[in-house]
Amino acid sequence: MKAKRDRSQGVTTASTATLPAAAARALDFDALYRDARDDVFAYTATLLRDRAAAEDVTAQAFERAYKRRSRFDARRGSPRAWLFGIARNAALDELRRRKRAASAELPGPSSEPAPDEAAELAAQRDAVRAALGTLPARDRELIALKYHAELSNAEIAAVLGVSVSNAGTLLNRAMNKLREAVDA
Amino acid sequence: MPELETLLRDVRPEPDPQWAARLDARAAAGFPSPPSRFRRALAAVRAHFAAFGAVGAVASLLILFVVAVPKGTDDSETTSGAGSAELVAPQTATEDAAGGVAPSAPERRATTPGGDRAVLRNATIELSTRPGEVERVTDRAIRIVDTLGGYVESSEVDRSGNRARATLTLKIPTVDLDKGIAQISALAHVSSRSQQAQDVTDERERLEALVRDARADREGLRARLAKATTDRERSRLRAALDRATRRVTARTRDLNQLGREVSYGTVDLSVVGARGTGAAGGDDRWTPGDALGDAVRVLEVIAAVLVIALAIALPAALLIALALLAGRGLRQRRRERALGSV
Repeated sequence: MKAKRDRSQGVTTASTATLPAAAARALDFDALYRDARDDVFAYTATLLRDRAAAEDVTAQAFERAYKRRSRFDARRGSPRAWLFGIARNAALDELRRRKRAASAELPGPSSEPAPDEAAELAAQRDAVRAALGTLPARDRELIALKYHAELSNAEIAAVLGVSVSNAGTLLNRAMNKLREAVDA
Repeated sequence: MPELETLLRDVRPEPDPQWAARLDARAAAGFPSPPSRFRRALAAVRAHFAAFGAVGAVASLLILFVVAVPKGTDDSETTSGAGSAELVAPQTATEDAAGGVAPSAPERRATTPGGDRAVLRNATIELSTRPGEVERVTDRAIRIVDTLGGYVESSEVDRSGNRARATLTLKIPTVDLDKGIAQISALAHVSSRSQQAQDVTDERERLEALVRDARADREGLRARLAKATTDRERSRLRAALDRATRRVTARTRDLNQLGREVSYGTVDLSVVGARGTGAAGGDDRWTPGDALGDAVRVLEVIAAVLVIALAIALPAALLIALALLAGRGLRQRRRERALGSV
C-alpha cells in the first residue's frame, strides 16, 4: 500500500492520526485537507467518470466539511471516513442532478507516461481503466474508496453505512467483477 | 502481469495542478462564499448606520412626545345616557293638604333656570391606596358627602390580610354632584371613573299625567257624593272615593320617588387598598417590601410566559425534529437510488 504522504501532491504532507479520546471533537481541518485532497478527487472522479464534475464535487465536499468541522465527532469514525461520507453525499447529489452517467471513459492520471514505460504495462493500465469503467457505480465506488482513496475496510464501512465484514465482502465481489472484466 | 491492486493504484485519477492550486487558495482562505442577500442588506445598513440612527432617534423622540403628552387625567372616564347630561330639577311633588303639588327643597335646588328636563345621574369611582389608608379615605369621602348635603346609602369595609376594600353608595344632591365627584377623586389615586346620565323627562310627565287623572277622578267622585240622594249611592261613592284616593296617593308616591332619584346623584365608590399602590396625596412611599413584591410578580409573569412558550415550542420542536429525520432518511434513499441507476 502506498504511504499517505504520496497521495496529495503539491501540498505539505501531514498525518491525520486518530484523535485521542480527550480531543474527541477536535479536528485539524488543514491536516485533513492536505492529506485527503487528491484522494477525494480520485474517488469522485472514478465514481462520476467526469473530471470537471469531480473537481466541483471535491471542492463542494471540502467546503461542506469546513463549515461542519465543529460537528465532527471522532467517536463516530475517523476524520477521513467523515470527510468521505460528505464527499459521497455530494457526489450522489451530483448524480441525482445529472440523472445519468457522464462520459464512460474514466479520467486517468494527469501525468504523461514515462518514455521508458513498457508498452505492455501501459496496455494493462488501459485495460484496467476500461474495465473499471464498465463496472456498476456501486462496485466502482468500493474500488475507488479502497485503492484510490486508500481507506481501510472499517472506514469504507463507516462511509457506506454497512458493517466492516459486509464492506469486505462487497469489495471482494467488486474485485472479482473487475478481474472478470479485465480478462474478458 | 502486475497485481490488479497495483494497476488500480496506477490508474488513480490525479487532479489538475491548476485546479488543485485554486482549491488550496480557497481552503487557505476558509472557503469564502459570496455574501447572502441578507448579509448584503446588513452591510448596507452598517454603512448608513449614522443616518439610520439619527432618523431612529428623531422618530423615537416624536413618538415619546406624542405618547407622553398629558391627557389631563390619569383615569378613564365615560359618560353615557339618553339625552343631555344637563342638570335639571325634577318637577316631583309632595301633595299638600289641599291636594296641591309643591316641589321639595332639594328638588328646588336642583332646578336650573329655564330647565325642565329630568335627568338621572350616577357615577362609579374606584380609588386605590395603601391598605392602612382605606378607612381614612372612606371617612373623608363621607365628610365630603355630608358637607354637600348628601347622605350615605350603604357602606361596607372588608379587610383580609394585607388587602382592604371599602364599598360605599353615596347620594349627593344633583346640583353638587360634579363638585362631589371632583373632591372624592382628589382623595386618592383614581383607578377608574365613569359617569352616566339618563333622561327621564318622559317618565316624569307620564307619572304627572297619572296623578292628574287620579285627582280628576277623585274630584268627580267628590262632586257626585255631594249630590247623592240615597244612602246606598253615598256608600257606593264613598267606597269608590277611597279607592280613588289610594290611587292618587300611590301615583304621587311614584312621582316623588322619581323626584328624589333625580334630585340626588348616586356615586358608587370603591376604595381599594393593596400594597404597591400609591395615593394621589403623595404621602405613600414605595418600600423595599413593595419592590420585593413587584419583583416576585414580575418573576411570576416571566415564569408563566415561559411555561406557555414551552408548551407551544416543545411539540413544535418535536414535529420539526421528526420532519428533519424523515427528510434526511428520504434524501439518503434518493441518493442511494441515484447510485444504483448509474
